[in-house]
Amino acid sequence: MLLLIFQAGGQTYGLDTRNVIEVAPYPVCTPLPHAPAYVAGLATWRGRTVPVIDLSALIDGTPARPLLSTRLLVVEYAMPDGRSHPLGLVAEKAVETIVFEQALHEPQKVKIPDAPYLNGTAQHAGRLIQRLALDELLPASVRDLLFPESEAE
Amino acid sequence: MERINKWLARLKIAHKLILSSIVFALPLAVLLYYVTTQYDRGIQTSQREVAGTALLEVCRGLRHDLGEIESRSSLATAAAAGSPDDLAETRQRIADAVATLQRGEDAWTKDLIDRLGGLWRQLEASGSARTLAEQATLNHQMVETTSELILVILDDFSLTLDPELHTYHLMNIAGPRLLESQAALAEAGSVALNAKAQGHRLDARDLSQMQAQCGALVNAAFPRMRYSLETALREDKRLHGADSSFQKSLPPLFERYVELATQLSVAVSNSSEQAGVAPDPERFVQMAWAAEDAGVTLGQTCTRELRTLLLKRIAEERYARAEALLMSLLCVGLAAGVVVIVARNITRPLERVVNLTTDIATGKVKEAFDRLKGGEFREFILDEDGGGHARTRDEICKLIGSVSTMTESLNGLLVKVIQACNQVAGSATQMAAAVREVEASVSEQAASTNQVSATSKEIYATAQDLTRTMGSVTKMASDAADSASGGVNNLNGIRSAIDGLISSSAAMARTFESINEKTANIDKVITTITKVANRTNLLSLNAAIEAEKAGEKAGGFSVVALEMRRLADQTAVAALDIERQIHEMQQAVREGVSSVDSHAQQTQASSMAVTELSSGLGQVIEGTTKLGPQFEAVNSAMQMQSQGAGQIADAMVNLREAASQTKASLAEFREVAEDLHNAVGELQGEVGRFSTAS
Repeated sequence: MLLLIFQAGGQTYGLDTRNVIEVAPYPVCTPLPHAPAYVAGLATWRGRTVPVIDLSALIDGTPARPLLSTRLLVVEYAMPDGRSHPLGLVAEKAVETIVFEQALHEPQKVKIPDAPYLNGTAQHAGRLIQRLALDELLPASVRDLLFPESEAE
Repeated sequence: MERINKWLARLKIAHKLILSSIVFALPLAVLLYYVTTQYDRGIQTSQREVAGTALLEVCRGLRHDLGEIESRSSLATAAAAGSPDDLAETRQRIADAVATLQRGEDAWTKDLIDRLGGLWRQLEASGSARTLAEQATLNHQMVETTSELILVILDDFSLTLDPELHTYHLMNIAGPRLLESQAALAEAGSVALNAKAQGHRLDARDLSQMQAQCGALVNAAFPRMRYSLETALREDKRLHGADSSFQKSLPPLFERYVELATQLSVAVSNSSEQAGVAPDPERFVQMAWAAEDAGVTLGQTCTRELRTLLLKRIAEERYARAEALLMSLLCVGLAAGVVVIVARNITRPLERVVNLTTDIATGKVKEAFDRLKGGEFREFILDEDGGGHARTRDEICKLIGSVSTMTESLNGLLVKVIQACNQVAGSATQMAAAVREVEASVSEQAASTNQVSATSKEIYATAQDLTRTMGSVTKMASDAADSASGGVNNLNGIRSAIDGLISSSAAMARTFESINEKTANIDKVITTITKVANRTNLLSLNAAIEAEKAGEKAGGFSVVALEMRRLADQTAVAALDIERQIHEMQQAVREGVSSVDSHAQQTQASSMAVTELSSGLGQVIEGTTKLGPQFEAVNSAMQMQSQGAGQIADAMVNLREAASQTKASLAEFREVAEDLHNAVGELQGEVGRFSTAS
């Protein structure tokens, strides 16, 4: 399994690359008024408009800095009803992938109600990497806001 | 099991299908074998029955002839008229019959036939030596043995076990029933014959004996025969239709036999009722003979018809056996045809898929892609939905669909990797150019530094000169009274030296400015390198993700992607190192500039001091003694200036060190760039093995 590594609030996090469609440079986002703070807005990716979530804001509460290493991860976001949509994630220091062995994985021991997306830890070269569960990333309200039921595929 | 699997793996799919069909054909063959055996057994049984009927015929003839001899010989004793010549033909027939029976004997019939042969030999050998009574006894024994032989033959040749009703009953008539009736008739006839032979009329005892025999015949034997005949006729009509020869010929013969026997019975009854009238035995003998002849005719006809029916059955069973064989072979042939068609339907697309994948494996991705697009597999896909996927349950069609999807994605992946390679190669070339540019800049900078160094040495020497001059001026000032005009000249020299110093400082400032410019250039190049490294990292990330998604198919690509990213990271680190050294260099340059500025200010101050000295030179002549402290001020300014020049020289040394470090870093960077270029070249070679369709 391949993990894409990024940082938020000084900590290292990992995202499974199976759902990643592409890693793109940091995009220009059009903000959505009255949306939660971690919704960075809408960005254009390959001619499509995709909603963008700021992972630094979501995890740490501070928006991602516009550095060269801050990048847009376009992922295939699967809905509970079986549909799936491209979703943009902004992450800092997304410059590395690691080959992650399943044996080093430890399941999530501490359950935090406000962070349901934490999905266990992995150790790699002395670093502790917290893994993210993509489908737990957004609460149902925000998910329905970004991808309404009536939207045609 | 493992050995079977290994062996199966060596076979083609078509061979496996044919093997399975053969396995399925085996039980069919076994079944066919048993069916054929069953038919053969039936045919053999029928053939044996035919042989049995032939022997039966012989036995019946023998029995009739024996009866004839018996009656003739008993008549001959009375009348003495029966010559042996009359019976010669009959005797010959009996001898032939016994010989025939001996030829056809087997384990069951051997004893009886041997006994029969023995009796006949005794009878023949005795000739006239024996008494008639003894001859009659032997004759009678032969008749009994023949009757027994008939019964044994019926059992031995399975005639009593015949499987069909009409032949069974026919057999019944021809065999035991007729034998029974004929025995009763012969018994009745022999009573009359004895009376005739002894030449007296029939008395009441004879009549009642005859009546008992006739009663048994009419009341018991005939109804049973009639029942058998009717059953046989009914069954034959059911099986073979209404007009077989046996249906036409048998009933009249039977009726005639019954009629003649009944006439005898009626005559015997009538005679016994008319008491006191002793009837003539001759009439009864004639009637009994007529009835016996009718019985013999009936028996012969019965046996003939029986043989005809049995032969017909054999022919039918042979036909049925041939039909079963033919139908089975036809079915097997049809099944084999279907198997061949199915096998072709499976193997043909599979062979093409194998060719296609072999092409892909040897790198001919473009040819495989073109063949897919050219519709090579269209004939195997029944109908397509909107997305171009086959709506089929056939695994091969699904396999074709998967292979075409795989080929398309592989092609896409290769095209992407080739693009990425080209981009990285471009980036590497750009980087190499940038490095060369930086190297040129650093060389220029080194030249500029050398210039500055030389200039500052010059300044230092000038300042030393000045100090020395100032010393001599001070010395001269001590005796200024003598040499005031000399002081004026010296001051002019000082001013011109200071002017030179100012112009040198300006030149130095310009040099620093140019160094600053170069450094800014280097900074720009470093920014470009960092951007290129960033893009390379981005590409390598995406390549790694694509390779991971492609799975095992792209095992080599993930390694190459990782290597690309490692090189890109090294490039970025090298670029950052250079950036840090450039910043140190800029710091050194800034320090040099500020030193030059302070030097310029000090020079200005020296100049002003000299000007003041010059303007006050008029007063010098008046009060040379007051000049001392002013000279001191000039002297100290000169020394400071000298120190400033030394600082500049130090700064220049620092700058040179920084420049040599930069050069070393650049050499390292160029090595990294060359590594990157080589790695990209290898990658391109690896990918170039695959031809692609874009």
